[in-house]
Amino acid sequence: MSIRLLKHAFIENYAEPCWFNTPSTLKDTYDVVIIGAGGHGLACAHYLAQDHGITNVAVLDASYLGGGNTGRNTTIIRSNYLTPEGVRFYDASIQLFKDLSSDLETNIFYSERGHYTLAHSSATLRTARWRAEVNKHLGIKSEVVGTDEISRGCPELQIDCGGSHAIEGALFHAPGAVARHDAVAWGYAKSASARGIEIHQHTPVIGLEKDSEGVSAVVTSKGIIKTRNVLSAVAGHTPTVTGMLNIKSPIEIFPLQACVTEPIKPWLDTIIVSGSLHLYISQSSRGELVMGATLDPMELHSRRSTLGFVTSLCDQILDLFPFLSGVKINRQWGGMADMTPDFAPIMGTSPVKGFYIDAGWGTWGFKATPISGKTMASTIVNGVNDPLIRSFNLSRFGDFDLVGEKGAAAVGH
Amino acid sequence: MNYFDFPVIGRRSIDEFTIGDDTLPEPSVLGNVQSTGNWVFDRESTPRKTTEYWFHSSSQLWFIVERNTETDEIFSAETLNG
Ligand SMILES: Cc1cc2nc3c(=O)[nH]c(=O)nc-3n(C[C@H](O)[C@H](O)[C@H](O)COP(=O)(O)OP(=O)(O)OC[C@H]3O[C@@H](n4cnc5c(N)ncnc54)[C@H](O)[C@@H]3O)c2cc1C
Repeated sequence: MSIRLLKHAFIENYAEPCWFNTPSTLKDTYDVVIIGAGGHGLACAHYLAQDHGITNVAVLDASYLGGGNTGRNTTIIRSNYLTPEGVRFYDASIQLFKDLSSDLETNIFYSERGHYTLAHSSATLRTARWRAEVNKHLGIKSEVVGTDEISRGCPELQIDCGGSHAIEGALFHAPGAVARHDAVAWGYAKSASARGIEIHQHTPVIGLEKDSEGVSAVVTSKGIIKTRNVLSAVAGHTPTVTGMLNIKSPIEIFPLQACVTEPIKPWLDTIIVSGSLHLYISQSSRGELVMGATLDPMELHSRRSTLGFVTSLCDQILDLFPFLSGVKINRQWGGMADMTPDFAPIMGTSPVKGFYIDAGWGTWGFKATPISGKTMASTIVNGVNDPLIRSFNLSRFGDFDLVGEKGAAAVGH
Repeated sequence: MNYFDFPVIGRRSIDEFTIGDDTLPEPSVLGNVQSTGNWVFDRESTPRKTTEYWFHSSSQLWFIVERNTETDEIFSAETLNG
């Protein structure tokens, strides 16, 4: 055992720099209370302090920091969406991601890989062309490529795909990237904390109160906090939290699972997605193959993982990469995806004044972490929705004004 | 894998079904656009016991299934229309 560890054990307030503070008691009141210390809640805290100088803020989490979907996702970052509002929003996030390591003084291992969405039919190829045209129009690098180019980009890929569903082409998105999910959450926590924002782990919110002026208090397991500004950034727990104020939404929670193989020599330097086969795969900087599929087919409020998921995923992966048949699966896990009917998020103001929602992140919200934090911070400070998120408001469902992102988000996270 | 004893078709894996939504009663009047939109889209997705429409494609039968959305336990299954 190292001397350093021993010191930790015996000295109560051992002075070593910490990533973030762990205050033992809550104050009676804060300017802003953020529910959920996932990437989104922590990013909002950071931008409240950095962009607006607001630091009398508490971030509360029922469990541990980054233990929700933030720590469970497969970290694909891209902006090749289908709707102009989606493309603009996710591109703004990529721009923030690129400088995030230096902004947060934390290496988030941002790694640009290129991203192929395979098409196994002419119908899929047609959607790919549509997406490429929308993307190019908005200045995003995105193009339809043929099988020769796919083979050059990923020589190991079996183009005939086991025979029954040969690959016909792909949408290629050069800016497609991966990053280290925990580092993003911890980096934002470190920065927010250094500016005086309090992070309270293991502090579940169990109730919300309102009066004639709007939201008025947050009830937690450790006491009641008075505040006029509350952000709910709880992903898979959104219906429970919005239910505390009787706010209804179309969000439904579905399980999303993923797994990694044992580490192997680096051979895959790009990201491969197949909507038709319901799978995606990339290789982490540790050498593990990170793989996932589409949602489980029924609503579920649990992070359980199943054998059926791994067996059917591996079955499909082997059609693309038969040589992986001897590689072992090391870990598998599940998260709770907060799905919306149009595969776009729900962001901004709510029917209760001062209560803001950042949710509906389903299977695609990791890539949005920086821009969600930034736009939610400006929305809270100004009390009106940031221009970049106006189309994502909860009110769009009552108005039948949906966003139509399904074609670009159904499997490719 | 999760199996359950269904009426008519017997013991089946739940993977054989397409799972629909909660069996929400249709309102007698839908009213304005806003309340129609809310009825169409809004859901009650919290951990609970609920009943859902399940479709079994190979037999073309619809079922009403009672399920716990936190533990995934199935309590009962009945064919739609008895
Ligand atoms: C398997 C999987 C793969 C994915 N892959 C990708 C991908 O490749 N690319 C991508 O962009 N996205 C992906 N996603 C989606 C992405 O992970 C999420 O959209 C994103 O991480 C959401 O972040 P968040 O901060 O909003 O939520 P979370 O990280 O889930 O944080 C919410 C926090 O709220 C806390 N909380 C809940 N209830 C309460 C309460 N009552 N009181 C206090 N705290 C509470 C929870 O403990 C949790 O820590 C994937 C998701 C999964 C599950």
